[in-house]
Amino acid sequence: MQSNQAKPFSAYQLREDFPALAQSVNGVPLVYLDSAATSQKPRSVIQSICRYYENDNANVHRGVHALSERATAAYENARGRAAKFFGAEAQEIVFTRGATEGVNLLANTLKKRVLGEGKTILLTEMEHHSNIVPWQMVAQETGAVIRYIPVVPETGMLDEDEAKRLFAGGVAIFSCTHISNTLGTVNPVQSLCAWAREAGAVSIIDAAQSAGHRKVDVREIGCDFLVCSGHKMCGPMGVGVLYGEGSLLQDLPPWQGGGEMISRVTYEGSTWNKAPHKFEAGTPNVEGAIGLHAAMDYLDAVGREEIRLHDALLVREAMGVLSSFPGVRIFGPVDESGEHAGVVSFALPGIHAHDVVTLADSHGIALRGGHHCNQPLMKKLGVPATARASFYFYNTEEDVEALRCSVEKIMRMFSKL
Amino acid sequence: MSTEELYQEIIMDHAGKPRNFVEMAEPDAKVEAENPMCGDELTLFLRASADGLRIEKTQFTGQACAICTASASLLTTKIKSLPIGEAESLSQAFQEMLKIPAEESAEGSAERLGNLQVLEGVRKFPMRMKCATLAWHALDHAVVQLREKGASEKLTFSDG
Repeated sequence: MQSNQAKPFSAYQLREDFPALAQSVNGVPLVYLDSAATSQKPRSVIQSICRYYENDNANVHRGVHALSERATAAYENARGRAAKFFGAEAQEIVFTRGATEGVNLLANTLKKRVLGEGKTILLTEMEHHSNIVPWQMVAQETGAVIRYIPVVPETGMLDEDEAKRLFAGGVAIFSCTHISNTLGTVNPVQSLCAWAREAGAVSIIDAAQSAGHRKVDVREIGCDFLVCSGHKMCGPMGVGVLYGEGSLLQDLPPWQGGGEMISRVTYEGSTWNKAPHKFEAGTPNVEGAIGLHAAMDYLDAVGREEIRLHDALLVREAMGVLSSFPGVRIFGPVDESGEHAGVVSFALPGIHAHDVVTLADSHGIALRGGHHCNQPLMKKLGVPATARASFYFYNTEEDVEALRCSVEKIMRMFSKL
Repeated sequence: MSTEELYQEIIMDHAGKPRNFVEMAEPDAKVEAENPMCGDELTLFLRASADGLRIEKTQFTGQACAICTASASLLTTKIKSLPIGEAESLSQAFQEMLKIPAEESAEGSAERLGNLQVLEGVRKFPMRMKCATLAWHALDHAVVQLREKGASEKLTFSDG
């Protein structure tokens, strides 16, 4: 998949682009069902990073020599590419270390603008720890209060009536995940952001699970800010994107101090550079931005709508297969209640998730087991942990079949069949 | 060792039918332990003998994986009626077994460990190590509780 020409979608063909998928673990071919934790990387991404280090490596924005100019151009091109990917302008794109750093940046800068004693930060019960803990830290500092839109355990969806009630009570900051990494729930981010706007709240969308899996357009969603991680969307680790609406981003105070984020420094004080550079103190992750650029090219060549449909197809099959076993609990929306993204959490009867994951690994299947960085939600669902299979465009029906075989073996081993 | 070998019959037996798996009323020591990373949770209860020198009874409750449950269940069967000091050194020997190969371990530890050696294979699964040791860490803390209690009792005795 080196060209941008549309080709008919074939997971089998796309797999060929991913060197890491072509291996055996524990003597059996790898079945990688942990893309919600991190996706595998296509050859074009890996090569773009090699090419950068072999040809253009230099510090950006500082030198006037040829290499520095090339590196700067590549880095800024990546920013432009990210802007196009999310339907934004280049000056609205800040490169971060990932979604977690994006939330931390926002929590620590917005607190000076909109938080204070008794102000409300509205989150949901299905947030990843990275969209809870930074808010708890600034709430403690500012005296702000955190409220959560409840999850309906049976459907895995947000309680929208309760959401409206909470917005009506006054909200300063609203931060919410687009897709739950645990439940696979796709949240109605457009309506939620509209309600936030009506309530006069700043809205933030955590697109860590969605950016690489479907079209994510910031103007369509209507959010003020959006964060994501490159490594979950075929890009390298350690790079992410923060989108901030033009004037809102410009208005935020700087977060970390250092080179690049300043315009003038004297011994007495400094003045700040403009956004987005104001938020990129120090030498940035140039290779990361370049790798992410290649990843976005790759995803668009595959087709983001095709990816969404393929995820949905596999997750539907997987839910069918899992529910055919007696006593298996599946979390998150079922077909009638709402859209289920390519993530399925499940619990086998009387078998702890860690045993499921260890045994599945012996069958060559990479699953995730645990609380998925969502301890309070696990408590609410009444399970200590779940096993999770997550799908991407390089997974096939054969992978679902491998999961079925593995679950059957595990159930037999524990005398549940 | 393969994963299937790790889940040997004796482990599956103890995981499926854990021994002494019931809450203890008025224990002399009670320790709640959890591995928040994986969601293993258990509570260990100890009752000391009347003279305070031995562990008379051990029970546990909780929700944990097969490795963790089997390890806790085996623990309760092994330390029953042991002098407190011996329970402590058994815990040490067990935790050592998971760190270093049998041939390098102290002489006589194999005999002492007995059927606890079925968990030796966990050494090859570093991510599961904490599952196997959780109950034993709880025991270490429970023994400290027993000793403190014993110390206060002794004090009462000398006062008398």
